[in-house]
Amino acid sequence: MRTFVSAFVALAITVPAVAGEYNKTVNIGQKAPDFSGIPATYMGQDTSITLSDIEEDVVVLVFLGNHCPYVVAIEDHLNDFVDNYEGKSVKLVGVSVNENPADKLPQIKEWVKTKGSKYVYGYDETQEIGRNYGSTKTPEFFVLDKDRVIRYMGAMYKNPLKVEPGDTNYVAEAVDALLAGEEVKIKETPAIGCGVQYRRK
Amino acid sequence: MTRALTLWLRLGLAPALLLLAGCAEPDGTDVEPTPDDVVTPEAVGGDTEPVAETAPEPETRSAPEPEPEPEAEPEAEPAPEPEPAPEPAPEPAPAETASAEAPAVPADDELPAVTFDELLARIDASDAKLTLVDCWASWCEPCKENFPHVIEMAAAYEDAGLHAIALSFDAGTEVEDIDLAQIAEAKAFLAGLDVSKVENLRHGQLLGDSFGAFGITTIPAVFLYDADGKELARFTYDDPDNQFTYDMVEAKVAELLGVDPRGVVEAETE
Repeated sequence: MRTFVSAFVALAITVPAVAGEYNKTVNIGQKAPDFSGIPATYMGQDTSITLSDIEEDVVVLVFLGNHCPYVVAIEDHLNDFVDNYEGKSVKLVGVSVNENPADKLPQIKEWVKTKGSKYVYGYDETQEIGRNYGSTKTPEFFVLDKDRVIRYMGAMYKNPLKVEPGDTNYVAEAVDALLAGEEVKIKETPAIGCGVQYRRK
Repeated sequence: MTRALTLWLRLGLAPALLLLAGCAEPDGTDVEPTPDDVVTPEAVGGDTEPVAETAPEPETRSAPEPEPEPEAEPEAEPAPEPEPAPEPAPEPAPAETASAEAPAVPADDELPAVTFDELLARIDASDAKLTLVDCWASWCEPCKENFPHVIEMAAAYEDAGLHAIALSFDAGTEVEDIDLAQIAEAKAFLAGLDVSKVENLRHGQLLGDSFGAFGITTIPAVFLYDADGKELARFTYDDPDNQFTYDMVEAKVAELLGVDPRGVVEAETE
Protein backbone atom coordinates (compact mmCIF):
# COMPACT_ATOMS: atom_id res chain seq x y z
CA MET A 1 0.00 0.00 0.00
CA ARG A 2 2.78 2.35 0.84
CA THR A 3 4.37 1.88 -2.55
CA PHE A 4 1.06 2.62 -4.12
CA VAL A 5 0.88 5.89 -2.28
CA SER A 6 4.42 6.89 -3.22
CA ALA A 7 3.75 6.06 -6.81
CA PHE A 8 0.72 8.26 -6.69
CA VAL A 9 2.66 11.11 -5.15
CA ALA A 10 5.31 10.90 -7.82
CA LEU A 11 2.73 10.80 -10.54
CA ALA A 12 0.76 13.71 -9.18
CA ILE A 13 3.80 15.90 -8.87
CA THR A 14 5.32 15.17 -12.24
CA VAL A 15 2.19 16.09 -14.15
CA PRO A 16 3.15 19.41 -15.68
CA ALA A 17 1.07 22.05 -14.02
CA VAL A 18 1.08 24.75 -16.64
CA ALA A 19 4.13 24.89 -18.83
CA GLY A 20 3.85 23.96 -22.46
CA GLU A 21 6.26 21.71 -24.24
CA TYR A 22 8.44 24.60 -25.30
CA ASN A 23 7.07 27.33 -23.08
CA LYS A 24 7.95 27.42 -19.40
CA THR A 25 5.14 29.76 -18.42
CA VAL A 26 1.87 29.16 -20.23
CA ASN A 27 0.16 26.26 -21.86
CA ILE A 28 -2.40 25.54 -24.52
CA GLY A 29 -5.95 25.73 -23.23
CA GLN A 30 -5.02 28.28 -20.63
CA LYS A 31 -6.67 31.67 -20.36
CA ALA A 32 -4.44 34.19 -22.09
CA PRO A 33 -2.69 36.58 -19.71
CA ASP A 34 -4.32 39.99 -19.84
CA PHE A 35 -2.57 43.11 -21.04
CA SER A 36 -3.61 46.69 -21.36
CA GLY A 37 -2.44 50.16 -22.21
CA ILE A 38 0.64 49.14 -24.14
CA PRO A 39 1.77 52.16 -26.18
CA ALA A 40 1.66 51.33 -29.85
CA THR A 41 1.55 52.57 -33.38
CA TYR A 42 -0.88 51.65 -36.13
CA MET A 43 -0.81 53.02 -39.65
CA GLY A 44 1.09 56.10 -38.57
CA GLN A 45 -1.14 56.84 -35.58
CA ASP A 46 -0.28 56.58 -31.91
CA THR A 47 -2.51 54.14 -30.13
CA SER A 48 -2.40 51.57 -27.38
CA ILE A 49 -3.13 47.90 -27.07
CA THR A 50 -5.58 46.46 -24.58
CA LEU A 51 -6.67 42.86 -24.88
CA SER A 52 -10.19 43.45 -23.59
CA ASP A 53 -10.73 46.17 -26.20
CA ILE A 54 -10.12 43.84 -29.09
CA GLU A 55 -13.40 42.87 -30.69
CA GLU A 56 -12.25 40.35 -33.23
CA ASP A 57 -12.92 36.67 -32.60
CA VAL A 58 -9.33 35.60 -33.00
CA VAL A 59 -6.26 37.41 -31.73
CA VAL A 60 -2.80 36.66 -33.04
CA LEU A 61 -0.17 38.06 -30.71
CA VAL A 62 3.37 38.08 -32.01
CA PHE A 63 6.48 39.09 -30.10
CA LEU A 64 8.87 41.01 -32.30
CA GLY A 65 12.18 42.80 -32.11
CA ASN A 66 13.38 44.50 -35.22
CA HIS A 67 17.09 44.07 -34.59
CA CYS A 68 16.59 40.36 -35.15
CA PRO A 69 17.08 38.90 -38.63
CA TYR A 70 14.37 36.34 -37.94
CA VAL A 71 11.94 39.16 -37.27
CA VAL A 72 13.04 41.02 -40.38
CA ALA A 73 12.44 37.84 -42.34
CA ILE A 74 8.90 37.41 -41.05
CA GLU A 75 7.79 40.98 -41.76
CA ASP A 76 6.46 40.38 -45.25
CA HIS A 77 4.60 37.35 -44.04
CA LEU A 78 2.91 39.42 -41.36
CA ASN A 79 1.62 41.86 -43.93
CA ASP A 80 0.51 38.97 -46.12
CA PHE A 81 -1.27 37.53 -43.14
CA VAL A 82 -3.22 40.74 -42.60
CA ASP A 83 -4.14 40.83 -46.29
CA ASN A 84 -5.24 37.21 -46.28
CA TYR A 85 -7.60 37.74 -43.36
CA GLU A 86 -9.04 41.01 -44.53
CA GLY A 87 -12.75 41.00 -43.73
CA LYS A 88 -12.39 38.14 -41.29
CA SER A 89 -12.63 38.52 -37.56
CA VAL A 90 -8.92 38.28 -36.87
CA LYS A 91 -6.60 40.80 -35.25
CA LEU A 92 -2.83 40.70 -35.52
CA VAL A 93 -0.98 42.42 -32.70
CA GLY A 94 2.77 42.86 -32.61
CA VAL A 95 4.65 43.74 -29.47
CA SER A 96 8.25 44.18 -28.43
CA VAL A 97 9.66 43.94 -24.91
CA ASN A 98 13.32 44.15 -25.86
CA GLU A 99 15.65 46.71 -24.37
CA ASN A 100 17.70 46.86 -27.52
CA PRO A 101 17.41 50.47 -28.72
CA ALA A 102 16.45 49.23 -32.17
CA ASP A 103 13.41 47.53 -30.68
CA LYS A 104 11.84 50.46 -28.84
CA LEU A 105 8.84 52.54 -29.83
CA PRO A 106 10.50 55.41 -31.71
CA GLN A 107 12.37 52.90 -33.86
CA ILE A 108 9.25 50.77 -34.19
CA LYS A 109 7.45 53.79 -35.62
CA GLU A 110 10.20 54.29 -38.16
CA TRP A 111 10.18 50.62 -39.01
CA VAL A 112 6.44 50.48 -39.46
CA LYS A 113 6.60 53.47 -41.79
CA THR A 114 9.39 52.00 -43.87
CA LYS A 115 7.86 48.57 -44.07
CA GLY A 116 4.28 49.68 -44.50
CA SER A 117 3.29 47.38 -41.68
CA LYS A 118 -0.42 46.70 -41.57
CA TYR A 119 -0.78 45.61 -37.97
CA VAL A 120 -0.72 47.37 -34.64
CA TYR A 121 2.72 47.26 -33.07
CA GLY A 122 3.43 48.13 -29.44
CA TYR A 123 6.30 48.37 -27.04
CA ASP A 124 6.00 47.19 -23.45
CA GLU A 125 8.68 48.87 -21.44
CA THR A 126 7.79 46.83 -18.35
CA GLN A 127 8.37 43.56 -20.23
CA GLU A 128 5.39 42.18 -18.32
CA ILE A 129 3.51 40.95 -21.36
CA GLY A 130 6.53 38.95 -22.46
CA ARG A 131 7.11 37.57 -19.02
CA ASN A 132 3.46 36.63 -18.60
CA TYR A 133 3.39 34.80 -21.92
CA GLY A 134 6.77 33.20 -21.32
CA SER A 135 8.03 34.60 -24.61
CA THR A 136 11.74 33.95 -24.91
CA LYS A 137 12.44 34.69 -28.54
CA THR A 138 11.33 36.73 -31.49
CA PRO A 139 9.31 36.13 -33.52
CA GLU A 140 7.04 34.03 -31.34
CA PHE A 141 3.30 33.70 -31.91
CA PHE A 142 0.28 33.12 -29.68
CA VAL A 143 -3.18 32.52 -31.13
CA LEU A 144 -6.12 33.28 -28.84
CA ASP A 145 -9.69 32.24 -29.44
CA LYS A 146 -12.89 34.18 -28.82
CA ASP A 147 -12.78 33.42 -25.10
CA ARG A 148 -9.13 34.51 -25.10
CA VAL A 149 -7.88 31.06 -24.41
CA ILE A 150 -4.46 30.19 -25.86
CA ARG A 151 -5.01 27.75 -28.72
CA TYR A 152 -1.65 27.85 -30.47
CA MET A 153 1.84 29.02 -29.66
CA GLY A 154 5.15 28.90 -31.42
CA ALA A 155 6.38 29.64 -34.90
CA MET A 156 4.59 30.83 -38.03
CA TYR A 157 6.90 28.85 -40.29
CA LYS A 158 9.38 26.18 -39.38
CA ASN A 159 12.22 28.19 -40.84
CA PRO A 160 11.46 31.90 -40.85
CA LEU A 161 14.57 32.66 -42.89
CA LYS A 162 13.53 30.54 -45.80
CA VAL A 163 9.87 30.05 -46.40
CA GLU A 164 9.11 27.73 -49.29
CA PRO A 165 5.80 27.89 -51.12
CA GLY A 166 4.53 24.61 -49.69
CA ASP A 167 5.52 25.30 -46.08
CA THR A 168 2.87 25.09 -43.42
CA ASN A 169 1.83 28.38 -41.91
CA TYR A 170 1.05 27.11 -38.42
CA VAL A 171 -0.49 30.38 -37.34
CA ALA A 172 -2.84 30.50 -40.31
CA GLU A 173 -3.84 26.89 -39.75
CA ALA A 174 -4.69 27.62 -36.15
CA VAL A 175 -6.63 30.74 -37.08
CA ASP A 176 -8.54 28.91 -39.82
CA ALA A 177 -9.49 26.17 -37.41
CA LEU A 178 -10.76 28.63 -34.85
CA LEU A 179 -12.73 30.60 -37.41
CA ALA A 180 -14.32 27.35 -38.54
CA GLY A 181 -15.11 26.39 -34.97
CA GLU A 182 -12.76 23.45 -35.14
CA GLU A 183 -10.01 22.26 -32.90
CA VAL A 184 -6.52 23.43 -33.70
CA LYS A 185 -4.51 20.44 -34.83
CA ILE A 186 -0.91 21.53 -34.28
CA LYS A 187 -1.06 23.38 -31.01
CA GLU A 188 2.55 24.11 -30.24
CA THR A 189 5.78 24.35 -32.19
CA PRO A 190 9.21 25.58 -31.16
CA ALA A 191 9.62 29.16 -32.30
CA ILE A 192 13.00 29.99 -33.73
CA GLY A 193 14.55 33.37 -33.30
CA CYS A 194 16.53 35.80 -31.22
CA GLY A 195 16.51 35.46 -27.47
CA VAL A 196 14.57 37.95 -25.41
CA GLN A 197 16.54 39.24 -22.46
CA TYR A 198 14.56 40.05 -19.35
CA ARG A 199 15.68 42.35 -16.61
CA ARG A 200 16.40 40.47 -13.45
CA LYS A 201 13.88 41.00 -10.71
CA MET B 1 3.48 32.20 -12.22
CA THR B 2 4.43 28.65 -12.90
CA ARG B 3 5.66 28.37 -9.42
CA ALA B 4 2.52 29.83 -7.98
CA LEU B 5 0.37 27.40 -9.85
CA THR B 6 2.54 24.47 -9.00
CA LEU B 7 2.39 25.47 -5.40
CA TRP B 8 -1.33 25.79 -5.63
CA LEU B 9 -1.53 22.36 -7.17
CA ARG B 10 0.59 20.92 -4.47
CA LEU B 11 -1.32 22.59 -1.70
CA GLY B 12 -4.52 21.41 -3.23
CA LEU B 13 -3.20 17.91 -3.42
CA ALA B 14 -1.74 17.86 0.04
CA PRO B 15 -4.92 17.10 1.93
CA ALA B 16 -5.83 14.40 -0.52
CA LEU B 17 -2.42 12.86 -0.22
CA LEU B 18 -2.51 13.08 3.52
CA LEU B 19 -5.83 11.35 3.48
CA LEU B 20 -4.50 8.63 1.29
CA ALA B 21 -1.39 8.31 3.33
CA GLY B 22 -3.54 8.21 6.39
CA CYS B 23 -5.50 5.26 5.09
CA ALA B 24 -2.37 3.53 4.06
CA GLU B 25 -0.27 3.92 7.10
CA PRO B 26 -1.75 5.41 10.21
CA ASP B 27 1.70 6.09 11.52
CA GLY B 28 3.05 7.03 8.14
CA THR B 29 5.23 9.92 9.04
CA ASP B 30 7.93 9.52 6.48
CA VAL B 31 6.39 11.42 3.66
CA GLU B 32 8.78 11.15 0.78
CA PRO B 33 10.33 14.30 -0.48
CA THR B 34 8.73 15.43 -3.68
CA PRO B 35 10.85 14.93 -6.75
CA ASP B 36 11.12 18.70 -6.91
CA ASP B 37 12.87 18.90 -3.62
CA VAL B 38 15.30 16.27 -4.63
CA VAL B 39 16.11 17.81 -7.94
CA THR B 40 16.57 21.46 -7.14
CA PRO B 41 20.12 21.49 -5.81
CA GLU B 42 21.33 20.93 -9.32
CA ALA B 43 19.03 23.44 -10.88
CA VAL B 44 21.42 26.29 -11.19
CA GLY B 45 20.26 28.09 -14.23
CA GLY B 46 16.64 27.15 -14.19
CA ASP B 47 16.00 23.80 -15.67
CA THR B 48 18.49 21.06 -15.39
CA GLU B 49 16.62 18.25 -16.94
CA PRO B 50 18.87 15.65 -18.32
CA VAL B 51 19.40 16.34 -21.98
CA ALA B 52 18.24 12.94 -22.90
CA GLU B 53 14.67 14.09 -22.56
CA THR B 54 14.68 16.29 -25.59
CA ALA B 55 17.85 15.41 -27.37
CA PRO B 56 17.18 12.94 -30.11
CA GLU B 57 20.52 11.45 -29.40
CA PRO B 58 20.71 7.68 -29.62
CA GLU B 59 21.25 6.82 -33.25
CA THR B 60 24.09 9.12 -34.15
CA ARG B 61 25.58 9.16 -30.69
CA SER B 62 27.11 5.81 -31.42
CA ALA B 63 29.42 7.47 -33.87
CA PRO B 64 32.72 5.67 -33.97
CA GLU B 65 35.45 7.20 -31.91
CA PRO B 66 36.34 10.27 -33.84
CA GLU B 67 39.42 9.89 -35.90
CA PRO B 68 42.34 11.13 -33.88
CA GLU B 69 43.20 13.60 -36.58
CA PRO B 70 40.70 16.44 -36.02
CA GLU B 71 41.78 16.82 -32.41
CA ALA B 72 40.43 20.34 -32.54
CA GLU B 73 43.43 21.45 -30.61
CA PRO B 74 44.60 25.00 -30.60
CA GLU B 75 46.01 24.42 -34.02
CA ALA B 76 48.06 27.53 -33.79
CA GLU B 77 45.17 29.92 -33.91
CA PRO B 78 46.58 32.98 -35.56
CA ALA B 79 45.48 34.78 -32.45
CA PRO B 80 44.67 38.45 -32.36
CA GLU B 81 45.40 39.32 -35.88
CA PRO B 82 45.80 43.00 -36.30
CA GLU B 83 44.42 43.12 -39.80
CA PRO B 84 40.69 43.33 -39.87
CA ALA B 85 39.39 39.89 -40.69
CA PRO B 86 40.88 39.02 -44.01
CA GLU B 87 37.69 37.50 -45.28
CA PRO B 88 38.76 34.35 -47.03
CA ALA B 89 37.03 33.68 -50.25
CA PRO B 90 33.63 32.34 -49.30
CA GLU B 91 34.37 28.75 -48.57
CA PRO B 92 32.43 26.26 -50.62
CA ALA B 93 29.42 26.25 -48.33
CA PRO B 94 30.16 23.48 -45.85
CA ALA B 95 27.28 21.49 -47.07
CA GLU B 96 25.68 18.62 -45.27
CA THR B 97 28.77 16.51 -45.80
CA ALA B 98 29.07 15.82 -42.13
CA SER B 99 29.83 12.24 -42.86
CA ALA B 100 32.09 10.26 -40.60
CA GLU B 101 34.91 10.29 -43.11
CA ALA B 102 35.63 13.67 -44.54
CA PRO B 103 36.09 16.58 -42.21
CA ALA B 104 32.94 18.64 -42.52
CA VAL B 105 34.78 21.80 -43.42
CA PRO B 106 37.95 22.96 -45.04
CA ALA B 107 40.82 22.66 -42.61
CA ASP B 108 41.62 26.33 -42.81
CA ASP B 109 38.15 27.49 -41.83
CA GLU B 110 38.44 29.31 -38.53
CA LEU B 111 34.81 28.58 -37.80
CA PRO B 112 34.32 24.89 -38.60
CA ALA B 113 30.82 23.49 -38.60
CA VAL B 114 29.90 20.59 -36.34
CA THR B 115 26.67 18.82 -35.61
CA PHE B 116 25.58 18.30 -32.02
CA ASP B 117 26.79 14.72 -32.11
CA GLU B 118 30.11 15.71 -33.58
CA LEU B 119 30.48 18.28 -30.84
CA LEU B 120 29.92 15.70 -28.12
CA ALA B 121 32.32 13.31 -29.82
CA ARG B 122 34.96 16.04 -29.88
CA ILE B 123 34.45 16.71 -26.19
CA ASP B 124 34.65 13.02 -25.46
CA ALA B 125 37.86 12.78 -27.45
CA SER B 126 39.52 15.75 -25.80
CA ASP B 127 41.14 15.32 -22.42
CA ALA B 128 39.75 18.46 -20.82
CA LYS B 129 38.39 17.82 -17.36
CA LEU B 130 35.49 20.17 -17.96
CA THR B 131 34.23 21.65 -21.19
CA LEU B 132 32.13 24.77 -21.38
CA VAL B 133 30.05 25.25 -24.52
CA ASP B 134 28.70 28.72 -25.07
CA CYS B 135 26.02 28.89 -27.74
CA TRP B 136 25.99 32.30 -29.38
CA ALA B 137 25.30 34.00 -32.69
CA SER B 138 26.09 37.24 -34.44
CA TRP B 139 22.38 38.04 -34.36
CA CYS B 140 22.10 37.46 -30.62
CA GLU B 141 22.78 40.66 -28.71
CA PRO B 142 22.98 39.24 -25.19
CA CYS B 143 25.30 36.55 -26.53
CA LYS B 144 27.71 39.09 -27.92
CA GLU B 145 27.54 41.19 -24.79
CA ASN B 146 28.53 38.20 -22.71
CA PHE B 147 31.13 36.77 -25.04
CA PRO B 148 33.98 38.45 -23.13
CA HIS B 149 32.94 36.50 -20.05
CA VAL B 150 33.54 33.26 -21.89
CA ILE B 151 37.01 34.44 -22.80
CA GLU B 152 37.66 35.48 -19.20
CA MET B 153 36.59 32.11 -17.86
CA ALA B 154 38.56 30.23 -20.50
CA ALA B 155 41.72 32.03 -19.47
CA ALA B 156 41.15 31.97 -15.73
CA TYR B 157 40.29 28.29 -15.40
CA GLU B 158 42.46 26.82 -18.13
CA ASP B 159 45.03 25.62 -15.60
CA ALA B 160 42.29 23.97 -13.57
CA GLY B 161 41.17 21.93 -16.56
CA LEU B 162 38.57 24.02 -18.30
CA HIS B 163 38.23 24.03 -22.05
CA ALA B 164 35.88 26.57 -23.59
CA ILE B 165 34.07 26.17 -26.89
CA ALA B 166 32.13 29.01 -28.42
CA LEU B 167 29.57 27.45 -30.72
CA SER B 168 28.20 29.93 -33.21
CA PHE B 169 24.56 29.41 -34.16
CA ASP B 170 25.05 31.48 -37.25
CA ALA B 171 23.55 30.30 -40.49
CA GLY B 172 23.23 26.61 -40.37
CA THR B 173 23.13 24.81 -43.64
CA GLU B 174 19.61 25.80 -44.56
CA VAL B 175 19.78 29.21 -46.09
CA GLU B 176 22.21 29.48 -48.91
CA ASP B 177 21.57 33.10 -49.57
CA ILE B 178 22.06 34.33 -46.03
CA ASP B 179 24.56 31.74 -44.97
CA LEU B 180 27.75 33.49 -45.88
CA ALA B 181 26.63 36.89 -44.72
CA GLN B 182 25.83 35.61 -41.24
CA ILE B 183 28.98 33.58 -41.03
CA ALA B 184 31.04 36.53 -42.20
CA GLU B 185 29.43 38.63 -39.50
CA ALA B 186 30.26 36.05 -36.88
CA LYS B 187 33.85 35.93 -38.04
CA ALA B 188 34.09 39.69 -38.05
CA PHE B 189 32.83 39.76 -34.48
CA LEU B 190 35.39 37.18 -33.39
CA ALA B 191 38.14 39.04 -35.21
CA GLY B 192 37.56 41.97 -32.88
CA LEU B 193 38.35 39.90 -29.80
CA ASP B 194 41.26 37.88 -28.53
CA VAL B 195 39.71 34.47 -28.83
CA SER B 196 42.93 32.52 -28.60
CA LYS B 197 41.79 30.73 -25.44
CA VAL B 198 38.48 29.67 -26.93
CA GLU B 199 37.79 27.01 -29.50
CA ASN B 200 35.50 28.51 -32.08
CA LEU B 201 33.03 26.28 -33.88
CA ARG B 202 29.80 26.76 -35.75
CA HIS B 203 26.69 24.63 -35.66
CA GLY B 204 26.31 22.61 -38.81
CA GLN B 205 22.64 21.74 -38.75
CA LEU B 206 19.34 23.43 -39.35
CA LEU B 207 18.84 25.95 -36.59
CA GLY B 208 15.76 24.18 -35.34
CA ASP B 209 17.64 20.91 -35.23
CA SER B 210 20.42 22.44 -33.18
CA PHE B 211 17.95 23.92 -30.72
CA GLY B 212 16.23 20.56 -30.55
CA ALA B 213 19.47 18.64 -30.06
CA PHE B 214 20.46 20.81 -27.14
CA GLY B 215 16.89 20.88 -25.84
CA ILE B 216 16.71 24.65 -25.74
CA THR B 217 14.49 27.20 -27.44
CA THR B 218 16.80 30.15 -27.63
CA ILE B 219 20.29 31.46 -27.00
CA PRO B 220 22.42 32.42 -25.20
CA ALA B 221 22.81 29.07 -23.52
CA VAL B 222 25.79 27.51 -21.78
CA PHE B 223 26.47 23.84 -21.19
CA LEU B 224 29.08 22.17 -19.03
CA TYR B 225 30.29 18.70 -19.95
CA ASP B 226 32.59 16.31 -18.17
CA ALA B 227 35.51 14.59 -19.88
CA ASP B 228 33.20 11.98 -21.39
CA GLY B 229 30.86 14.50 -22.90
CA LYS B 230 28.22 13.98 -20.25
CA GLU B 231 26.23 17.11 -19.49
CA LEU B 232 26.72 18.32 -15.94
CA ALA B 233 24.89 21.62 -16.02
CA ARG B 234 22.99 23.88 -18.34
CA PHE B 235 22.17 27.55 -18.26
CA THR B 236 19.42 28.88 -20.48
CA TYR B 237 17.17 31.82 -21.31
CA ASP B 238 14.14 29.58 -21.63
CA ASP B 239 12.33 30.83 -18.56
CA PRO B 240 11.79 34.59 -18.44
CA ASP B 241 11.82 34.49 -14.66
CA ASN B 242 14.93 32.42 -14.42
CA GLN B 243 17.44 33.51 -17.02
CA PHE B 244 21.02 32.80 -16.18
CA THR B 245 23.91 35.19 -15.85
CA TYR B 246 27.50 34.35 -16.57
CA ASP B 247 28.59 34.78 -12.97
CA MET B 248 26.31 31.82 -12.23
CA VAL B 249 28.21 29.89 -14.85
CA GLU B 250 31.53 30.81 -13.29
CA ALA B 251 30.38 29.67 -9.86
CA LYS B 252 29.40 26.31 -11.30
CA VAL B 253 32.61 25.98 -13.29
CA ALA B 254 34.67 26.55 -10.16
CA GLU B 255 32.56 24.12 -8.20
CA LEU B 256 32.86 21.40 -10.81
CA LEU B 257 36.58 21.93 -11.14
CA GLY B 258 36.94 21.85 -7.39
CA VAL B 259 38.65 25.23 -7.17
CA ASP B 260 37.79 28.49 -5.50
CA PRO B 261 35.84 30.87 -7.70
CA ARG B 262 38.25 33.40 -9.14
CA GLY B 263 35.65 36.04 -9.65
CA VAL B 264 36.53 36.91 -13.22
CA VAL B 265 32.91 37.41 -14.22
CA GLU B 266 31.37 40.36 -12.52
CA ALA B 267 28.05 39.63 -10.92
CA GLU B 268 25.27 41.38 -12.74
CA THR B 269 23.69 44.10 -10.76
CA GLU B 270 20.40 45.53 -11.75
